[in-house]
Amino acid sequence: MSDIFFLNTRLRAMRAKLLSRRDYDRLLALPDLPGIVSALREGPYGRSIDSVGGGTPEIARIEEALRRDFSETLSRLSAISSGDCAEAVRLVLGRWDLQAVKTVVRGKAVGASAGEILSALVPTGLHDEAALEEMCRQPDLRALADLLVTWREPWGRPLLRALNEYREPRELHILESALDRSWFQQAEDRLRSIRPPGPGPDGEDALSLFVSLSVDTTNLLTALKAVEERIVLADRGRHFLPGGRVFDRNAIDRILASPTLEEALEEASVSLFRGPLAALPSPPAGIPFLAVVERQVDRVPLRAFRALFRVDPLGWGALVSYLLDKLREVRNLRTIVRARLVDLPEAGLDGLLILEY
Amino acid sequence: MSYLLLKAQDEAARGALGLLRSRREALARELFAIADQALVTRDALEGTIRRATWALAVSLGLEGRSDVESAAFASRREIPVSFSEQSFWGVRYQEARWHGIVRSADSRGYFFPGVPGSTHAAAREFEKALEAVLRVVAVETRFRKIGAEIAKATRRINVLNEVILPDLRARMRAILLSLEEREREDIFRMKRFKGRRGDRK
Repeated sequence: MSDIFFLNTRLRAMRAKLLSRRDYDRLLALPDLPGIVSALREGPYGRSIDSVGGGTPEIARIEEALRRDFSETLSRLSAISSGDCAEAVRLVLGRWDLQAVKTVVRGKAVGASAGEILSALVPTGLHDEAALEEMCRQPDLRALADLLVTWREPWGRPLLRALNEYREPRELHILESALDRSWFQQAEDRLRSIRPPGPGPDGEDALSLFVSLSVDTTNLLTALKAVEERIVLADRGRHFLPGGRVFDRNAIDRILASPTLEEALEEASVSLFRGPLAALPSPPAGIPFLAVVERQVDRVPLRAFRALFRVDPLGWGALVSYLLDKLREVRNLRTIVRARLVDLPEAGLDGLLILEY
Repeated sequence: MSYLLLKAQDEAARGALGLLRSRREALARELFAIADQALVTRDALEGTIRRATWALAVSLGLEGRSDVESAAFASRREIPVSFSEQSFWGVRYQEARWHGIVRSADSRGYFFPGVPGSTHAAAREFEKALEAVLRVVAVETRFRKIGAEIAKATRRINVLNEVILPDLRARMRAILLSLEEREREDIFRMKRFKGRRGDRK
């Protein structure tokens, strides 16, 4: 049996543990946190919740359990993949690995302690806890970059190069921008090295779609944030990643030229993004509008990869679709729990959950 | 001489009483003006804190504590607040001044495309909440200072009205009585002296 068949079989088993719509309805009907904790303990999150132990506030217990469960999921994906599959998993997990490296860089830039930085990290399997600890223990950013280069980590050289321009914590954007570009470069290199397992609909390859949709959503949200906060982007080359399929440079320029967020959203309602953005709910006062927009935009890759998975259940679409579904579930659960804690209006909560897509 | 001194003290005390009364009136007027302001800023603070709490809950829900803490590392800074001493009718209070507490997404330290909009919103709402807290602190500190000063002025007015002025008046009356007594004695002595001289003749 080839690597991808083995991976897909395991993914099917993992997918079966995802919460159903009925589970969500049951959770949403519970009025308080203790009820939600006991409901979650009866399901697939029971082991993670029990592993956190008592003595911690319920909210912290649930969040830590969700963090551990998600981290274990990412690590399991790395552990059960080999050959091309391992490369594909590395490509998909690269976004979380990028976030972990960014967190260490941010922490080191402001002189946070290793303990503080470690508590803000989610091990992805690409870097285990021991590696992350070693990264956090480095005395400064240059030592961190040197360590990554010594480990032959792909983040090392771009970070080292960017450090030549970097002078003070206010210039952290130089390092983060270099890491973002490095992620895209690594993804492109991996795409070239991975043999496609088979064509999807219209010969679509799930991994290249994952990279391009990640770029498109990142670029779109960057443009929307710039419009909302009226930020004039002098260096657009640095703020926007190359490689998007839906939003090219002209499309991004048109969105940026929109005077209001509503007009920018109209401008962005094209191709795969049209449906979710057209169905954008208007949140009640006090709920950040852009958070609701982000949730709608999250539906785009979810729908795209579900379609790919249905058409080609043995392709890479299964991997990406599962990972996005798992992330959706963790976000939904965290949001339900947080909403109960601060009495968020139900109408606001509806706009933040993706129960069906 | 002693009477004239007491009279001068009485006049000074009356002057002080007038001054204290007008000071108390001015402070009371200011207190009422600040009371309205304090209510408005308190209401604004409650609304801002609620929005900030919701925005943080949304951000923690969607992105998780790890990602929010990661962004928080990058946006650490000293809060640019300075205090200067101000005076109103002799009441000294510290006035807080600040600028640039609410930052735009591209000036929070991190590379803003890499931080979700919900986290930006939470950061922005908490920066607004911090401004609202400083506004409340500024208004309520002034309110408390002026309130305490009104209480102090009232105590002084009461002391002048009920202790010092009555005491001065009593002492002046006692001096007047003793002077009148002495005058009567003098007249009596003069009359007796005049009577003796008349007898001798």
